[in-house]
Amino acid sequence: MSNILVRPDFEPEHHNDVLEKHAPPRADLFEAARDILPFEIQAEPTCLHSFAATVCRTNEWAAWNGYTTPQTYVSLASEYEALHAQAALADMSWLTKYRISGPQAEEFLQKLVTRNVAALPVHRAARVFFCDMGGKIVGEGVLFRLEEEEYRLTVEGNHLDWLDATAEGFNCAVEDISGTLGCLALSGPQAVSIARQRFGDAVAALPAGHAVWAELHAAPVYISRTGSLGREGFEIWVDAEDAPVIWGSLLRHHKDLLRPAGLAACELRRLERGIARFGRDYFGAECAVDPEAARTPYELGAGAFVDLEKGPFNGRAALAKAKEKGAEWSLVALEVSGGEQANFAAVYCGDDRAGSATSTGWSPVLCANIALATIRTETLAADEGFNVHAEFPGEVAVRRARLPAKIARRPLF
Amino acid sequence: MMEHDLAYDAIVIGAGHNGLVAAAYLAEAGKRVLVLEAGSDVGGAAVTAEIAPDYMSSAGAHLLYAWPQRIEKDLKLAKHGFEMASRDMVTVALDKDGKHLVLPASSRADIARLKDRSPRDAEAYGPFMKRVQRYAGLLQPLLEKGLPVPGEGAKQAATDALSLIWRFEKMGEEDRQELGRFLPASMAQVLDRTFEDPLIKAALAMDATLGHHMGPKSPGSAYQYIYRLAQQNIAGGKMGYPAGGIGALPQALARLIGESEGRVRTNSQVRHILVSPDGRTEGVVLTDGTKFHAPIVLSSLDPRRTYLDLLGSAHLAPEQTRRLGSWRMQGACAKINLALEGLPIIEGLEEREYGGRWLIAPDMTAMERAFVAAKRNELAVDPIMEIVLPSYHDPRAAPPGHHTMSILLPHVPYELEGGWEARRDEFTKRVVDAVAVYAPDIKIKLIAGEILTPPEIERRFGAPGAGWHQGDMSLDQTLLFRPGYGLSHDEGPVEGLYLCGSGTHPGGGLTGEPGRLAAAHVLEGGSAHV
Ligand SMILES: Cc1cc2nc3c(=O)[nH]c(=O)nc-3n(C[C@H](O)[C@H](O)[C@H](O)COP(=O)(O)OP(=O)(O)OC[C@H]3O[C@@H](n4cnc5c(N)ncnc54)[C@H](O)[C@@H]3O)c2cc1C
Repeated sequence: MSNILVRPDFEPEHHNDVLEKHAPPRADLFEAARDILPFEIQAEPTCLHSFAATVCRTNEWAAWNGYTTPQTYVSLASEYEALHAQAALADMSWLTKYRISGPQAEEFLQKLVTRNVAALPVHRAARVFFCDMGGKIVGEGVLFRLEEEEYRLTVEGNHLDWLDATAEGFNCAVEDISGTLGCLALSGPQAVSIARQRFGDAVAALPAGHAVWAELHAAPVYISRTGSLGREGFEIWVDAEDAPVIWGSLLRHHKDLLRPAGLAACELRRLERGIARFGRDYFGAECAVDPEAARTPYELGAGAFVDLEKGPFNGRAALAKAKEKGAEWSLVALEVSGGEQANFAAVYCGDDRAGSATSTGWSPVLCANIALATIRTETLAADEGFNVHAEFPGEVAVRRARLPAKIARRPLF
Repeated sequence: MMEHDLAYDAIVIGAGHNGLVAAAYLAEAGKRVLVLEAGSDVGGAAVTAEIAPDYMSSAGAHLLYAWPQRIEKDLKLAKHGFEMASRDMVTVALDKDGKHLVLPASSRADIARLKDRSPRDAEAYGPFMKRVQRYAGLLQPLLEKGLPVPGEGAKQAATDALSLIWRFEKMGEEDRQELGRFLPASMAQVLDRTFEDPLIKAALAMDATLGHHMGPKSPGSAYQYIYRLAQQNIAGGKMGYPAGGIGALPQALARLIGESEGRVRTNSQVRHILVSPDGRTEGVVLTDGTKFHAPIVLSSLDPRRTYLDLLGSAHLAPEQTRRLGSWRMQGACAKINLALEGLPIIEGLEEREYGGRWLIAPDMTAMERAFVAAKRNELAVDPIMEIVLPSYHDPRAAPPGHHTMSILLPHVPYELEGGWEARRDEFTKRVVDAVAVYAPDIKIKLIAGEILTPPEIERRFGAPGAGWHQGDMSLDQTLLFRPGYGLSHDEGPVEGLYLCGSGTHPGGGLTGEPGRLAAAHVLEGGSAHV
């Protein structure tokens, strides 16, 4: 992430706690030389790939959830600004999407996820977690109820095998429909007004978590008031073939207000929203090499998504125990003082290691370094404050300093 | 009062010997148990049946090689009419030239015979047996009790693990390394290092492969050998044959249950295990719709049928569904039971050796060939056999002077190229011809015979895939992995449901141990519910 906003009066030397003056050269100078392992090569294009490519000026791409997606289109600053001040359109088609249907779809989902699915009405969406026998999260995502007996589950990662194993014995079908469905996230202060103009009042008036069918250029679109980019946001679900039409039409008709936003801006926005990301801020139980690296929903602060009373589901017994015992780890948002972008990972409580920051970034709107970090719950009660050992990337050498940090309410912005 | 209104303390599904042992222990403890058996007779693969009028044989299993006297004593089976006809059967590896081998070679005469075949092997035999016995000694305590569940109640687990580590350490560096090489090795590798005589190698390899989906060259077969040794040691180390044939054992167990407050009901196939909304076992439903209620259900069926078919995977965690989906039940075998007009004469065989367990397995190559043939759905050119003469131990099995012969054939394909119907006679002829190589008069003395092909064994004894053990006994399917975390006796996916058949620890063979341990779990851990 480039340095997009630095408070002009800020000088790191003001910190009296500078650890090293003559530091070794920056390790990331040689980053490009890192070998890419064969299994890391992921270049599946999304249904919007060629259209995104034509507007991607930076030619910076990221491999994300098995797809190639623009990191930035023009500049991080302008895309971030659009998300905050106007509106941005992001290609989220790289999401993994499962269609779950059949007479026992609800029973199956009740067993799969920790939340009470019976309480989810048609055309509603809910954030859900699914756990293993030990109560550790296998995956998380958003569940939509499209019809009485049809659902869509959107996740990151590949969970078909897990879903299949859970679905055994239920009269329902689970299909991976990722490739057939595009997803466009429309977000920002102007998003509602754009939605009203393009899709009508019903869409614009959607309360959070609700969804509705609409139409644009004769293409049916399913629009939900969901997404991780901000309070004012929609996700537009559309057939992969129609996705370019919707994408083009929105960008053309609202070119003064709407810009495409790449992954970098979206990730920064997610961080500001304080939303933990699967596979980044914590590992799924099935991919964690060290089982200790997997988390229960309680440890993510997502206890509200676990309904121990709803009847049997995967991991219930273990979660009941985990709840009683209390979470050993807590996922928290941190705000780190100091007005310059810094790199850090380890989080300390006084002089003791308390945990690690897993997503970090410089938030221009807050003018602060922010992070999501997993720390030992007991340190939350400690009198001593948190701090991080930060590195300030310079030209050739690294400056290091210990910066005080404090737990921030989520969303941070 | 209608019978299904009767309240039972526990229901046992399947009246195989393990189901009956479990039920008998519960009955002895004063519980009211109901045993439900799909077939018309009790015993599962352990039954005595007629080959022809007046000629009886053990139709399926035909030898007690690991039947613990402890169970006999605990349950006072003698009081219920159970009696052993022989308690000290030897293994006789038949030789085409009459230079047979007797194992275990404990007497001077037996060792002399071994020396006669190979002086080198006679010397190697003692140290080899000592070594493998040490390994078996390490395993044995793990088979004698229910295995600890990781996580909760880890104290016992820790004690057991520490004791195992201590004994492992005590073995000494050389032995430890050797054991490390031994466990994943094939029996052929182990034996080729130690012996030169093909016959002794084949005889020892038989115990590593019989009833398993393995040939002597299969990796992991050496472990099977150690496992069987440990099972045998728990039982006292001797092979035996009951008066009245193998079927006498389940019959005695069923009598015991009938004389208590329990009940054994045949022709009662269970279709479903009933589960309450809060996830507890409530009872079972039969295929005819009859319901029986009890707070405890023990299933002597293999884990896959118990959990996937009778319970339903809706009650399982995905980890468990996956585990059960990959549960292997292979190693089909066939049986041929013959009625003979007299004792088949084998040259060079001493009188007492007619009461032995005969092996027809000339060398490990023939055994491996038979295994490979079975893998390819073909018949072995030289069938491998384990033979017992029931009438030798039990004169009631045949008219005076006449005899019955029970032939067990491992490495026979479940699905035969060309179909079993078309090739039954060809198979029988091959087997009889092969026996005739050793006992030439068998063809003249033969008056009747019955053959049980693998599909018939499956149907008749309810043994899935005609396998021995309700699941291969490889390293990944034994001990803690039999059948796996959260699926074993004491911590099933629904409360009150226990496994008690050979598909659970400590596994297959006529040992009664899975049944005994399951009953112990119910009585200790589950006593609050009974
Ligand atoms: C051909 C053959 C030869 C063998 N030879 C020997 C030997 O010589 N020595 C030895 O020690 N071991 C031998 N074995 C292995 C040994 O017989 C088995 O390990 C043992 O019988 C397993 O006993 P069990 O009680 O666990 O299960 P099983 O004997 O399989 O009993 C399960 C019972 O459940 C019943 N059942 C199935 N489905 C249902 C249902 N839905 N409802 C109610 N009842 C049901 C079945 O009919 C059966 O009676 C042999 C096995 C075979 C197949």
